[in-house]
Amino acid sequence: MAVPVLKQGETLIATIPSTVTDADWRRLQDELLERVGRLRCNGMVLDVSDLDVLDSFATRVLRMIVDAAHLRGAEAVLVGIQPEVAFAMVQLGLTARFEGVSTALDLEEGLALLARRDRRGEGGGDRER
Amino acid sequence: MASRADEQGPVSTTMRVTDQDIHLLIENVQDYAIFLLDPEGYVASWTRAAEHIKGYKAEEIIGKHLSVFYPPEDVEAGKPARELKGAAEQGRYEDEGWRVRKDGSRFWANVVITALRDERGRLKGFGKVSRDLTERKRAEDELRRLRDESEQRVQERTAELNKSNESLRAELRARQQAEEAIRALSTPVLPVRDRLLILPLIGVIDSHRALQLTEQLLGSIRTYRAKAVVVDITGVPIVDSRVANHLLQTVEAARLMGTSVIVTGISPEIAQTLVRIGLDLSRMKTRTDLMGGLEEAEHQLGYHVVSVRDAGPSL
Repeated sequence: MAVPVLKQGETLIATIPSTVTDADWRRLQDELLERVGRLRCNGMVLDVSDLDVLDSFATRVLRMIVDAAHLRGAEAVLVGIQPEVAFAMVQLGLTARFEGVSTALDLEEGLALLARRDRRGEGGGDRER
Repeated sequence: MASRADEQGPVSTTMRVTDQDIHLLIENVQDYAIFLLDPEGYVASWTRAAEHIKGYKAEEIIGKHLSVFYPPEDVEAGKPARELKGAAEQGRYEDEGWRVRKDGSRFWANVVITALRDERGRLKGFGKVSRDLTERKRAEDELRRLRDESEQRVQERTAELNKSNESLRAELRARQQAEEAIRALSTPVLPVRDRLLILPLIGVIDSHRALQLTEQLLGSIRTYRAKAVVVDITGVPIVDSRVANHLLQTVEAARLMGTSVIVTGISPEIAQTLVRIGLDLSRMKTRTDLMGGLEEAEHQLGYHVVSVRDAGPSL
């Protein structure tokens, strides 16, 4: 099942469905990193609000996307992590993977965060700790 | 069932039974008072067993009416006459009840009155057979009393149990209500500005409460779309490594959701404890007190606090 990826201004938006498989994750990773360059995007929002669980594999892929996007000149924001998912990740010790990754409550917040960074002229390279 | 007659032909016996023998039988039976009444119910014959059971000698009783054997209330109710009438009509009448001896004492008797008729069907009188069942009656009554008593005791016990059960249940209810109230009180999440929550914690945090705190905080972040939360622990007397760890995990989880948590009101003692425990708390944003925490949160949210001096009425 393909993950829908939208382009909004200079930002790519990927909404990850709850039925996502490991193969989907890999395809998504390749597609996002390819499009970021081709479409000259400087921002990326990864919306995981549909997911009931973020396992070790998913967090590794997400971290890979965030770091690789950074090298390709785009700032990625992870949005919509559910309270239960967040706490489960903390308890499973998976948070270290998201160390230094920007997060926001939902899509709207994520876009606002990227916009703020753009205005400050920090876009692309710098990431908030 | 086979009888001797089937196997060996007619039963033969050497005894020739006479009327006198029958009389002997009636005279000598000890457990039954067997005597005759004339058609009007006056005593016509008497036996030793009758004397033994009822206390009257033959010369005292023959010619007296049957009603002397009954308690006054039965006589008044017409019981003797009714029994005679019943026997005359149906051939026999059986009764169990109180009867009176000569000395006035009562005994519980089984009485059968049989109508005696000649071959033409004329009523010649009545045969009366009485048996003293006082002992049996007493045993039965005693048994009944014991049974009633134990039944009552069981009922009392059951009632007692029900009562204590009920009070236990009431106690449990009251306790659950109290617990719920405490739970609601223990983690108050207060929205102070748009997208800014404060969570003032008071009292000891055990692991149960810590878990509840996490759920409440993360849930509220979602509900209020909070971007910043100030957790004030001024009122928490002790923070051990488990609670500190839990707090840290909650802060981390909130961060994953895109919300920053600022912890305020860490007392000098708790601060030292946390350092001694050696947890990595560097990622936890802290401020001295709630005021400082609110200022930091407002700054993050882009609020600017401007002090305005009012110089009195203008214009």
